[in-house]
Amino acid sequence: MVFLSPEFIGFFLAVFLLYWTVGAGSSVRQNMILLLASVLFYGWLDLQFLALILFSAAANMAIGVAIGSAGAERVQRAWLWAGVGLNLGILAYFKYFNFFHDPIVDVLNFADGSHSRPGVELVLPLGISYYTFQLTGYLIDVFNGVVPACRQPLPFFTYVLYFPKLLAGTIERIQRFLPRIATARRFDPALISDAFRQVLWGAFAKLVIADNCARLADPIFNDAGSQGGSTLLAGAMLYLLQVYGDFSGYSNMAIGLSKMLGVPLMANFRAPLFATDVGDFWRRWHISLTTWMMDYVFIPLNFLFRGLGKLGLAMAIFITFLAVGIWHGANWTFVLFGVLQGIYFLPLAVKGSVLRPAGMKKGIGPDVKRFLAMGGIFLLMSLTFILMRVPSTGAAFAFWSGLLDRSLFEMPVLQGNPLALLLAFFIGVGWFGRSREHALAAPARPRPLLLRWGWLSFILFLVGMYSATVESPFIYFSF
Amino acid sequence: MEHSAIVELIRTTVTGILGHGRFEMREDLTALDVEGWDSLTHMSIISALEAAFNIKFKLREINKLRNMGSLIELIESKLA
Repeated sequence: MVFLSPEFIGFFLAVFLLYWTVGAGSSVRQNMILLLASVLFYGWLDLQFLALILFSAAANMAIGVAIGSAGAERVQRAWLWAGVGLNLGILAYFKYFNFFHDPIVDVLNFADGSHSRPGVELVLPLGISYYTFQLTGYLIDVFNGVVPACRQPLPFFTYVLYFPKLLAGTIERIQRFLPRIATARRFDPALISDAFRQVLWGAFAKLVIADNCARLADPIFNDAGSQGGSTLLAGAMLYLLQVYGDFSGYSNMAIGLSKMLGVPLMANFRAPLFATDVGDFWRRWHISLTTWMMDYVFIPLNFLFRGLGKLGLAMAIFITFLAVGIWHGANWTFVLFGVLQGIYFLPLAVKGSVLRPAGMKKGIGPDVKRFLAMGGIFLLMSLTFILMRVPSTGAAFAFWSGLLDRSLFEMPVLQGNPLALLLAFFIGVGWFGRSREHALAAPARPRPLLLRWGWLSFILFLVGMYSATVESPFIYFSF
Repeated sequence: MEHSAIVELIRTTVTGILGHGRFEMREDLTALDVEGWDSLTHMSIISALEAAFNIKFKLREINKLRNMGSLIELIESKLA
C-alpha cells in the first residue's frame, strides 16, 4: 500500500473525512485519529514490526523524561548514551548484521572451514532508518536543553508514527512538529489546494519521470558489461534522474498529503539539479537527512576537532559523509559513495566556502558559467550515484572503466522511446519553480483561473498518458 | 576580570577571526547580524575564545548560545 495504490487512496480519503468532521475543532481528537490511522497503516504494511516501533517510541519517551528529570549532568549523559545505544543498536542489528557477520564467518572459515553463513537475510523493518534518527535527534536535543522532554504520550507517539512521513521521511524535528499538532488544525482551502498541486507534481515525478527513466536505465545496468561508453553514461544520467524523480516525487506526495491534514512538513528537496557546487547540491538534496547529519554528526565533530583548524574541518566533513553513505545501507558501495562525497568536499573546506549558500539567481536562464557548473555537478553526481544501483564496488569500477572507451563518442543505444521531451518539460518546470517550495506552487501573483486549471489539467493528462506501465517500488523505502 | 575587559577581549578575538570589526558589541547581537560569522567561522571563534580566556566550552553550552549577551554571560560564569 503506497501513496498511489487504490487501497491507500481509499484509506486516506476515510482518514481525511473523519479528521475534518469528527476531529474538527479538537486537537486531541485530531491527534487520536492521526495516531490510530498511523498504527493501522504501519500494521497493515509491516505487522511483525509494529511492536518494535511502538517499543522504540515508548522507550525513547521514557529515556527523554529520565534525561529531563535527572539533576546531575553525569546521570543525564548516562541516560543519553543508553538511549542512543539502544536506537543505534536496533538499527545496526537489522541493517548491518550480515555486513559485519559475513566477513567474520569468512575469517573463521579461513581458519578451519567449519562455519556457515546464516543464509537468511534479515528483513528491514519499514521506516526504521527514518524514525530511529528522529528519536536519536530528540534525545540529543533534550540533553542539550534545546527541547524539554515530552511527557504526553499522544503527541509524542503521533510524532513518531505519523503516517505521511513514516516510510521514508521527511526526518522531522520534534520542536517543529509538536507545535503544529498542539492546537486544533483549521480547514484551510488555500493549503489544501496547494497540497493537491504538490501531490500532482510528486506523482508526475514518480510515475512519468522516475518509472520511465527506470525502464531505460534498467537494461543498461542489468547488462553493463556489453554496453558502449556513451550508453553507460546515458544510463548513469538516467539513473540520477530516476532517483531524483523517485525520491523527490515521494517527498512531495508525503508533504502534500500531510498538508491536506493541516500539518506542513519540512522541505526535502530544493531544485538539486541546478546546484552549482557539491556543497550546494547537498543543501538541496534530501535536506531532512543532511540537516540532521549537520546538527548531530558534523557540528559535534567540528567542535571536537576545533583545535586542528582546516584539518579538523576536513575530518569532520569526511566522517559525516561516511555516515551519510553508511546510512543508506550495508554495502561497500555505500561506503565508497560516502568516501567520494567527502573527497569532493575537501576543496570547498580548504577554500572555506563549504557552508556558504550559493544562492539561486532569479531570471530566465542561467549565465554560461553557472550553466557549465550545473552540468559539471550533474555529471559528477550521475557518475557517483551509480554506486546506489550497482551490486558491488567491483561492478562500479567496471562501469567507470567501461566509460573510458572510444564508444563514449558514439550515439548511445537506448531501448524504448527516448524521454527527451518529458525530461525537458520536467527540468524546465523545475527551473521556473526553483525558488518556490515545489515546482507547481502558486506564484506570488496569481494567474487567471482558466490558465491555472488548464495548466494543472495538462499535467494530469501527462500523468495519465505517460505513466510507465511497469510500476517500480520507491527506492528510498529500502534505505 | 572586569566585565568591560571581557567584552573588549571578545571583540578583539572575534575581529581577529573575521578580519573586520564591523559590528557593535550589543547584548542582542546575533551571529546572523555579523558579516562572515557563519557556521564555519563560528567554531574558529569558539576555539579562539577558549585560547584567549584560557577556558573550555562544552558543546551543550555552545548549542544554547542565543546572542552576544549569552556568550558574555557564559564566559563570565567560566571565569568566576
